[in-house]
Amino acid sequence: MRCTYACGSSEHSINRRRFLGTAAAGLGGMVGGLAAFGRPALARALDSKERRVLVVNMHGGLSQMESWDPKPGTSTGGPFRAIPTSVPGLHISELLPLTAKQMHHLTVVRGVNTAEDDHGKGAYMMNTGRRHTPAANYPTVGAVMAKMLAPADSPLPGHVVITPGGGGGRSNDAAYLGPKYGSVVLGNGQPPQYSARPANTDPAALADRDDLRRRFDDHFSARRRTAQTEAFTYSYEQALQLMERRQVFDVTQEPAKDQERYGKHDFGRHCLLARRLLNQGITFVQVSHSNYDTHNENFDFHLEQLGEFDRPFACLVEDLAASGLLDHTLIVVLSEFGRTPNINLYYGRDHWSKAWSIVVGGAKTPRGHVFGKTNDKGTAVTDGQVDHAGLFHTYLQALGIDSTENFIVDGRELPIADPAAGPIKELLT
Amino acid sequence: MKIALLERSRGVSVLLLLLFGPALPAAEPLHVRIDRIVESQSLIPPAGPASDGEFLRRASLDLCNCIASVDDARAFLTDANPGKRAALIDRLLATPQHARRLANYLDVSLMERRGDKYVARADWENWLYQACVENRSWDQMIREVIVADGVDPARRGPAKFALEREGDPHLLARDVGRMFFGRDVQCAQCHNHPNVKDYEQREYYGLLSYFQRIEFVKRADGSYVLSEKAEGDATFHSVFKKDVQYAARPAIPGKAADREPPVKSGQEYVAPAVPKQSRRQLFSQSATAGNCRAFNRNIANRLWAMMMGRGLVHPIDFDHADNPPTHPELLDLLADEIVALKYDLRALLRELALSKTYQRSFDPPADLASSIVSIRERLPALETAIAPAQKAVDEANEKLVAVRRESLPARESVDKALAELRAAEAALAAARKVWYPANAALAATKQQTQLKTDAQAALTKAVEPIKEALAKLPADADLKQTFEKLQAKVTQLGAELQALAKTAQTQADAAKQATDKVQAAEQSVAALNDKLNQADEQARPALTQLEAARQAQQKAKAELARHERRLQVAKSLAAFREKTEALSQAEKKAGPAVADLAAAQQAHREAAARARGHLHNLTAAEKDLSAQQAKLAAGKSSLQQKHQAVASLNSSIEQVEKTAASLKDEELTKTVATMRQRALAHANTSTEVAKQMAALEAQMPALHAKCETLRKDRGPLDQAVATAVARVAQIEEQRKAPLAELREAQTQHNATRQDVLERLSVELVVAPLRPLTPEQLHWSVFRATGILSSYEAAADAELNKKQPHTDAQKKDAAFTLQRIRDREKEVYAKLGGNLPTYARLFAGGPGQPQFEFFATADQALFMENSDAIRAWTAPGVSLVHRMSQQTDPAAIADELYLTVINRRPTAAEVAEVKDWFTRRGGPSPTAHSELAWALLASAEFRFNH
Repeated sequence: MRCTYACGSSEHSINRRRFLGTAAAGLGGMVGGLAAFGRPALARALDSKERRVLVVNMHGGLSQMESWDPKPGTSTGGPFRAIPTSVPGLHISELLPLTAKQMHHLTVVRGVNTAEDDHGKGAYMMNTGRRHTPAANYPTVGAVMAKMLAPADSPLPGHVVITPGGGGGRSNDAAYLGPKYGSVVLGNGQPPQYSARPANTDPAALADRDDLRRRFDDHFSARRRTAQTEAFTYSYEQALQLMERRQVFDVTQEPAKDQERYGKHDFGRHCLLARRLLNQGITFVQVSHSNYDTHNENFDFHLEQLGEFDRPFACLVEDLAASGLLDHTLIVVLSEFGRTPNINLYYGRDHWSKAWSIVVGGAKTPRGHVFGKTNDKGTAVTDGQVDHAGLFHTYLQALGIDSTENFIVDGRELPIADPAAGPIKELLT
Repeated sequence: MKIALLERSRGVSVLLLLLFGPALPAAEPLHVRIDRIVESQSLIPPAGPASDGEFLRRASLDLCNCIASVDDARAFLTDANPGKRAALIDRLLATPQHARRLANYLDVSLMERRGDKYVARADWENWLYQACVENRSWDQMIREVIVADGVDPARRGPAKFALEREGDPHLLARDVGRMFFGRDVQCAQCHNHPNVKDYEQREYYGLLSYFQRIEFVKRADGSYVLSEKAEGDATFHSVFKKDVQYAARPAIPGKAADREPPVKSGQEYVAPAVPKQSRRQLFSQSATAGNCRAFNRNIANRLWAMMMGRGLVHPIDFDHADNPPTHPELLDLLADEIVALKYDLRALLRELALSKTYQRSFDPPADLASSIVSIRERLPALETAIAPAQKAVDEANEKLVAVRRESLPARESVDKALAELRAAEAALAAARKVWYPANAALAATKQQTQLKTDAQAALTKAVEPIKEALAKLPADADLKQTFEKLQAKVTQLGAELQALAKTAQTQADAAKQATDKVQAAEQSVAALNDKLNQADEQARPALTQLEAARQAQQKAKAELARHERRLQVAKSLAAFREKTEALSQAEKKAGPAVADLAAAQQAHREAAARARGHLHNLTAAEKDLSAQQAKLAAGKSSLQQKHQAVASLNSSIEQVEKTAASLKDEELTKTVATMRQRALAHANTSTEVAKQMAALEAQMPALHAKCETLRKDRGPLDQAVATAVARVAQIEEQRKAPLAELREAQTQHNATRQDVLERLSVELVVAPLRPLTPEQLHWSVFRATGILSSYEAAADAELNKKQPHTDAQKKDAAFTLQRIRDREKEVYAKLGGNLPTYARLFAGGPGQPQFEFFATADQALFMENSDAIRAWTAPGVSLVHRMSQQTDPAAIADELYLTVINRRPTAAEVAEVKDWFTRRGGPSPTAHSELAWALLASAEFRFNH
């Protein structure tokens, strides 16, 4: 069996780079001191063809009826109308007028059936492509994408999650792929933890200090050098580069007119930050919009929430398409489940996982397309039924990854995606 | 205190000898046998012993989770006693820090940082720590962990293992397989393991059966405990062959299935939720009986990995035929010895630490080059050894297939008997389901009957006197009515009793029927149990053969792997030699170019140092200048204010004087005098300040001039640097070809050297480098920065204040040991709060393997920018303060290296430190702080070597 994803391959390429960069330093003094001229050669040109992923998580359970699969004029349809979109024949809810103009870049998947009405479990399934079992834990889509796609020599993290609030740090969402691929959390869009130099410090002195650290490391590695010591010394170079490029995480550096376009509210800022991060070559970015768990007053809440969502999301799609990035960037708009067709006594909709919708776009997914169908009242999938496992395969395949392969972790073969499922051909061009 | 401890540790080793002396078959200690096996398997002579400093650091980290203190390092390095290493090992093993280290290793191994949702961390840590202090045996610890239910608040600790896993049978089966048997059988849950032929679905369900009956119960106070049912068994089928169903039964990996005698109906539980036959009890006895090979191999391999950084089987939870141990005989030896040692973990750790294998240097063997020459000649022989080994594996495979086929009928008859027994048990359970309520109903009826019979008798007795009274008072209508009422009640009770008797009869019949059914079912279960026992007996030879064939195959595969590895090592050595020769050629060729370049680089370095030093001076001068300017400005403004104040005071004096004169007011005249005095005083101080200002002002031109000169001189110095850089570039350009060739040769040489050393460390010929665990890093940062020592001193002072340590007590080893333990507890309580920060940054995720290394930018950012690291390496703090006490750079380097790395610096490193001070414009608190930080952030500190 082919083992292209064997652990350690990325470390190898790093080591080689570091080797080439500082080979001279390890010569036991003969050519000693070359390292003083500059950092190891890890500053890399950004390859515009690098594959990327944007996930927009509609936290709490977005109503498909008020978004991607409206049923106006039926007993379940609610008060909102459906409007035409940039794709002839495709209608979505009137709550998304600006997104409607971008639908020619996207594909609506209307036949999602995940049969799981619990928030935590549903989110786990949509994030990992598997059902949670007590004896096994699976990496999230972001961790898998970072492992498969992020350039090994990038100083920037490959897996970034922008959360509506909270602190920073690294998450434990990479399971057996290891913490290296865990998400770096940008709480309310703040830059990574410890990435700022403390106040009242002299940058030149700190640079000297790091230079001295390198010299100590060179003394030591002349005695013994391993893949691990190389990865360790490299992590400092990565940290220094990240500090130098800290403005990557600073959304206020974006043009004022874009800040205006996306909106000054949190979700607008987060979407613009997502664009900035993707532009700078970060492989996986997730933004969340919270909260769609509308057991009461479903319609008021969706009116308000989607009113906030529509503009920045439409801008983001438009910009990614205009820059050409969309050709190799996958967009997924997902949720943990949809909401019941039945409207309850409190004008709310409850949890509903049997027939709901997501949206995909970019990379190898079709443009301006709709796949899957629900019945008139939206109570069942009548055509093109898909689930979390098939979708997970599809995300990977859309970026050219063979999702039927295995990870090899510590000699153990672990399937990249659920081996009992496969990609959805209709969602791949 | 130290002497007392040494005395005590001598006592401990005598004790160890007394305890384990008789268990050792030969006079030869285990560590000698370990070394013999390792050396006999090695292709080349192993590396020499690690230096004293490196050994001290390694042993302190492995046995106590922390590097040595600078005082201990100094004492150890100057100690001339040839037996000092063994003495150190015994001293370390007797410390509370060792108990803490072992407890930490077991915690991380068993809990994999799953968090503390159900059992408080302190309960679990205290239990582990106490067990390690007492040196409780491994089998005993496992028994306590497995049967713990968490009910008794004082004994909640060991229940953490199952409670944090929410009592989930699958999770428990998987983790028990990994952690107690070294076998990750998870993939065998749904089918026989696709890639690991050793791991069968049967094995997984055998383990699962022990935990199948566990229940995770919420108590009224919201806490959780475990209980167990007396029944319930799993069945399984392969997802590939869904039509064939198998019954599961409890079985320890590699051992025959456990037998369970049937339990009489009504005696299933000895107390509520406490079955008479507990599966967990069964597990704890069966697994730890000493005859389970997988259990013994697992703990031996885990302790080996704890000391050597890598298991003989690696990964440690993946022991199977296709992942054989690197040194199979050694693992067998250790597995046998741990049983002979009665699972005494400390005793085994001591033997491992005493071995030469453990104490090796991480530098390559000195005579590597000469060894390689002979290796080349041996290559063909090594290559031809592969084919016979491969043939042996093929034969062992065939044999295993044949034995498996032959054993099929026996295994099938066991399966059949088991399935029949399970069916009968199900029928018995169904019969019991009728029997229990039938008996209960009958008992209830009997109770009712008794109640009513008693009532009837009492009433009848009560009616008699009334009847007599009525006979005497026939006209009393009320009395008559009462009599009749009671009489009617007696009659009614009679009728009710009749009905009850009828019900009782029916119920008795039903109960009898149910009893008959239960008895019949019990008989059938007993008979089928006997039948299963017979089938087991009959199958035993076949299964023994099967296990033997399995082990023979494992052995053959291990042998083949060893030959293949030896060949790879030899090839790697040969490649290394080739690249070394190529490098020496390239060096010769590039000699003049290298000399030119080195000279140019040296010139650049000097120019850069001059420029840097100059810049440093300039910055300082500019700082002085601007400080002086600020002072002047502040002085001027205060002077001006004073002038204004005096002026307005004077104008006021004039007014008041006039008024005083016109009113001839004495009071006012006095006031005027006071005001005059004040004005004069202020005027005088103003003059004083003005003088000072003038003095400062007079210094200004000199300061300006100094800055100006320095600024002027800067240009040429920078120019010199640029020229030097250009010169280096020029040489690089002119000598492009030979230099490129040399670099390429160096790269290849480095790569082959790295490859050889990695392979040799797997062969245990060279010591490996391994990362510090998050806990080791935590304690070592505190130790290296001196923070730990100051906490220890504070704790000592606190304890002495509470209970003074008298001279008599200082001679009492037991008292001293208790004091040391108290101090450790105190310090752990105070500093341990930082552990989660390190775990979050440096450890694997919850429930994931914890011994994998990874290096991420956020870890480096923590070292670079966190307030914590900055505070501990700040000027004036402990280590940095001690460095500042020295003036000689060599003495500073000595203090630094002994404290942070536990060894003395080399000449080159001393030169590096000197060079640093030159670049930083001489020693200064900041320069010391940065120096300490750089070594703390270095690879040498991050790794255990």
